[in-house]
Amino acid sequence: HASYSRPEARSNQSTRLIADLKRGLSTGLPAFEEDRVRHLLAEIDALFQQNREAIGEALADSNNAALTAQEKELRAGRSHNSIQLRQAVMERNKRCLLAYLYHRLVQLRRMRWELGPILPANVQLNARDEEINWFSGYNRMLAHYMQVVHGWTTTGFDLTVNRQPPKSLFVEVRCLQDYGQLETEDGCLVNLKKGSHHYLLHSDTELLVRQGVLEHVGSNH
Amino acid sequence: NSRSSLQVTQTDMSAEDSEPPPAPPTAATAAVDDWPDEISASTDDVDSLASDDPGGANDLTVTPAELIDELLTAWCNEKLCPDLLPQRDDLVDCVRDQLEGMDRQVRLPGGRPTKDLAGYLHRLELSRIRYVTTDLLRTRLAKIQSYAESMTVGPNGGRWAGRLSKPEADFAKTYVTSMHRHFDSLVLNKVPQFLRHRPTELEAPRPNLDAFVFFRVRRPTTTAATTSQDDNGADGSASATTAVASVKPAAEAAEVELRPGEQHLMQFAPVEQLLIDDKILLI
Repeated sequence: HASYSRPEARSNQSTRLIADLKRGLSTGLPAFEEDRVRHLLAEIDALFQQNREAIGEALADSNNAALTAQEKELRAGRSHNSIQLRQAVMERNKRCLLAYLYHRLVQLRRMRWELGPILPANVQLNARDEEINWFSGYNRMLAHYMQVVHGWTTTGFDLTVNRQPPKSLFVEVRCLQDYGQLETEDGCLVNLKKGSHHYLLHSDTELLVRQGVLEHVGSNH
Repeated sequence: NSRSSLQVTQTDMSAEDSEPPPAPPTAATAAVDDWPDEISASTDDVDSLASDDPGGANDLTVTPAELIDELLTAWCNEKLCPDLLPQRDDLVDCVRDQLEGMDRQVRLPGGRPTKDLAGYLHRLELSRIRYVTTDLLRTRLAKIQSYAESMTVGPNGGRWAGRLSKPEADFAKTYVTSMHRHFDSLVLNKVPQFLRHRPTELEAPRPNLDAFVFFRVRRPTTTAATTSQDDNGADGSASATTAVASVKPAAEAAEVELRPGEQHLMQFAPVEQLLIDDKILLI
């Protein structure tokens, strides 16, 4: 049959999508593989059409009086096998595509906790619009959970801060970039200039440390 | 001085020694001793906590020290448990109210923190308790996110029905819906009809209830550990478990007697109910 094109070679595409994503996620969010995703979707469509034709042919064969019973059986068996194989490839493509989307969302979710509610510019560039939308939706549901529902008013009950067990209230930090004025929890204004050292409340520094503005000085962190 | 009423009995605290809390238990004890007296007076919410306490040992009042003790236990259990435990919002709300009251006391009228040493120590202690409280909720939220699909859809959802608090259940639902919408718009709406169904609950991530956990026994009890293990082997695909059971049929019905203070390593599923009943403590 001419329509028998090697599905096992194609399905490599879908697993490679996942493998590449896995490698890319260790450093951030890799660019959305628009082309490969579209390719896999097109492949599903193509296989679906092929199966449709194959089923049509099989029906025609079984009604064809010119064929002997033995020939009919042979053809039906062959076509049955390739239909099943294509079906499996379609399922596999779909599964890989969903896994691809899912793990990208998990990465965005992780970034929300690590980096705060605003995505870095390079991540925004690599994410699709739908993913950015999902992220802001996630922001909203998290904020809803933390503030509205629990009604927690005291500062510091943001679940995404206080991530490390506190050892002391104040920490010594070095400033890695020009950040500008920071108003601390106790009401002081601190000018964060590149290279300057400060002794600040732990809760004030935590997010800035994760964003790479400050770094801890000393070995206790 | 009524401060003595806040004393924590030393035996209680030493039980926590081997846990991994960031705040050393001794420091917790010391600072709890220092808590202002007014706190023990505002026990309205504390009472409501005690009435929910399955132990029923202290039905009338809970001192702040006992409250923190309870919080640390709940936190350690949740951290070390492979599955989501029943919600403790009563406890969390109670701690939160105490914390907010305390926080006000270590601040000047303008909302600025005081700068004396006592104020510093109080605030450090508050930040430790706050860490434990938020980390308890954070751990739960992380589990909910990982298993949200299993928890909200499918017949397995019933297992977690009472375990999520209302806010958590709302969160799980919104979270799953947002994921589904994302999948639909990027993939499922673009494939042929017969492929459009979402992955079944069998494919959704589920907690591993067969994971092994270390625990310490708090109150005498027994468990039919090996029998439950056999059940798992029978309805799952774990042929290895069944094979072992058939080699040693005598071990099947053996009940493990648990005496207070003992430490064991067992699979989670058989001891889950004991944990919920507060008879054991994960370590």
